[in-house]
Amino acid sequence: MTRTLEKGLLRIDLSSRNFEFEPMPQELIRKYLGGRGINSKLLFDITFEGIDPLAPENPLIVGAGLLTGSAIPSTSRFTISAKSPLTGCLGDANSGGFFGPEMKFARINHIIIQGKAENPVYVFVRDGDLEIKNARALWGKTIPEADAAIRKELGTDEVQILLIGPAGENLSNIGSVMNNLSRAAARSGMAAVMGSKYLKAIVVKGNGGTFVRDKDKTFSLLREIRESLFADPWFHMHSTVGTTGLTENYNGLGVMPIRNFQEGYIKDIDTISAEKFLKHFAVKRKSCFNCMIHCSHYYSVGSECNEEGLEYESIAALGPRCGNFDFKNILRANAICNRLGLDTIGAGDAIGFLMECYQRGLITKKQADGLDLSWGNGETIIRLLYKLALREGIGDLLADGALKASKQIGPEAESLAMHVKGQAVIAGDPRGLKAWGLGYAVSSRGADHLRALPVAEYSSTPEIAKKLWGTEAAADRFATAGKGKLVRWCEDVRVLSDALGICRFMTRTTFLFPEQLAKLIPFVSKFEFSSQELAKIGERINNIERLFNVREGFSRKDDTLPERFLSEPLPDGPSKGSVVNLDPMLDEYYEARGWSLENGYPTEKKLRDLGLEKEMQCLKIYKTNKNPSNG
Amino acid sequence: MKHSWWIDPSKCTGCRTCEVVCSLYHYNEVNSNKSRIRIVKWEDKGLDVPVVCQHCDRPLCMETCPTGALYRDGEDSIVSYRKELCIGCKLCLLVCPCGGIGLHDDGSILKCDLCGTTPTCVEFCLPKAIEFIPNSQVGERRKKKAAKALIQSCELAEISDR
Repeated sequence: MTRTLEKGLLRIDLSSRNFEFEPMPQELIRKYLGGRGINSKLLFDITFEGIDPLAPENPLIVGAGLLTGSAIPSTSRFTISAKSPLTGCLGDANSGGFFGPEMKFARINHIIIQGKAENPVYVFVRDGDLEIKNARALWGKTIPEADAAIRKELGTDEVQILLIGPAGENLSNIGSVMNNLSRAAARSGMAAVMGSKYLKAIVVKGNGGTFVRDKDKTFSLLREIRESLFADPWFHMHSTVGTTGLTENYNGLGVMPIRNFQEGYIKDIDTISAEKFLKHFAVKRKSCFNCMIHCSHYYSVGSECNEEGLEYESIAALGPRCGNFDFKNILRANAICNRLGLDTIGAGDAIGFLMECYQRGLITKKQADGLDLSWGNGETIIRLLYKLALREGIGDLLADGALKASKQIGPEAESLAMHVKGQAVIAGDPRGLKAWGLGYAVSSRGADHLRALPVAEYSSTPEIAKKLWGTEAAADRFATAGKGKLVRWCEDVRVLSDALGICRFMTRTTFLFPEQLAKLIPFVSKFEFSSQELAKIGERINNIERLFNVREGFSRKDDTLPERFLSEPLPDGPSKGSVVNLDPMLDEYYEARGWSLENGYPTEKKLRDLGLEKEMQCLKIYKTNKNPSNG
Repeated sequence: MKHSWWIDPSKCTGCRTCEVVCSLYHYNEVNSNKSRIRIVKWEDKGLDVPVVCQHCDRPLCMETCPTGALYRDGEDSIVSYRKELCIGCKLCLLVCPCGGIGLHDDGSILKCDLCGTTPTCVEFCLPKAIEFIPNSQVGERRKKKAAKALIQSCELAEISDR
């Protein structure tokens, strides 16, 4: 009935064309669960200090969560990890869809790909077997073209395909790895790592199933989960409009990234509202594998543009961030990003950055291939997306994100790149969301909201905040106090859903606590964990990711935010006048983490406590007895 | 049969939870390859279509089956399958115009049995793309759906007339 785990680790060397199915070490599961957790541990072990992210040795690791593909709803998630060419630190990108579950059906938990093929290839994995196939004819093709060509060649639609588009092939650091045509593992430049290996696609077909301990009890559990979800007020938004509903929420908080974060609020948001999307463009609802929420949509903008998806992040990045409020244009741009395999956040950020450079006279129309870089020029945005993915003209400058572009434009441009560690800040202005700002600063993959996702800051009550994070201020989005404890707590629980493969929308509020997650695991896995064990695993994963970054030379000085957020008050709206006071939050965070206040390194005591002595020995700083102080 | 499937692909989100609960109910595991209901997809067009045995009033599969492995207990009963009589000729698969029969790894067939009385997939289909309703309601629903489409097309026509 169940054949999982015996040979769950697949290693592929594209240089020698060798591959091996190995047993999945049980200890890895006990210490890191799976998905992002095991990926990060494998990445730490396989790589070494200073490894070139685009060198053949940098592994591309695809990991399904411990519960991915199980009977538990919304367990479609998987993580792709490698050292990031975008940030130079730990890189990963997470996606739902159908690829992760199919890995499990093919009895694979993690795939490690190293080396570089001589010519473009794709790999086709079926239960216990693998073929490396020629992809020369696929190179240069868009996501839907390549996806269709692979299905045609294999003669079946019953496969799941993970692939890169032209952006990844051209080693764009803001490319995305796609599955199910429109599901993106977009952050950290994982597509460039895949492209550097001449790997166009990974195709998986599984004939197996996933384990269930007791059918009747599992059905009872599914009914319980359903009722819990129905009782969650956020379920209503996610299951009707998806994250497009956040457009009004975030504008209402005054944290919309308008014109590259020059403003945070616009009076008339109706032009890009969820209501408008549902009424004029959405055709029907769509979903990832085995989900009860169904947050996605298939949408149509006329005959030439039909696409699945649309998230708040994409609306805000390709829209307001570039001064663009033309919904049709945003929808087209979103579809084009999916087809070219581009991160909508990274691409919108790069274009918004360029437009501000133009506004401030740092770049001329001539330098921009004659394009009109005025705010909100929709046609320019679309032209730039193509140029960027193809590295054509000005697109070559933008293809690796705003920070790298700024270095070529000049010192004045650098302060306009809205990034942390090179990764674009998401569409939530931290001046009105202080814990989010701290989260961006300390996230192990650079500016990112999903590592911490401290929604408690604006949706929790003062009583809960006091109980969990020691102060009522933790639930006040303008306060600084309590945010260090809040972000530390959130990071340690959020990572559990990435390691288990459960969607954030299930674990955002409904199945948030380790106690709840611990209860789910034994129904569909042969493993059991206490809530204390889970909490420790969450902490361990965050610490090994920190160790990876420390080994690469990152420290407290890199845990910062763009100057704009620290010193330019928001000019208008519900967060008017606000800036981020980062240092006290950082101090509180490091202290809560048991890391050095001086340099942000994990202390020896903390690492020993988490069973990371061996890993610690890999780092020079711990060998030379220059132990970081105990903060 | 006094009940019928009411399948609405426009409501199907393609999540395949029906496949999960079907295989869980019948085989104690999550395995789409063993599900008796399948979602056929054209992702590029956003199409998701649930395909399942319709328990026809005149079942071609049963009429074609050379061994009596497919049978009915009476006119009102569902079409059932006796694995021990099946010779694996797959004729039922070929003649079924609804695509309602699938093939199991071991050569036997996969065919819906309504989970006895109440189909599990229906309970867990939250968007209500799959329902199992009394025949008396089928005609009414169909007419309402067609009438709604007619009104919409009239409204569209009016807009274009202006």
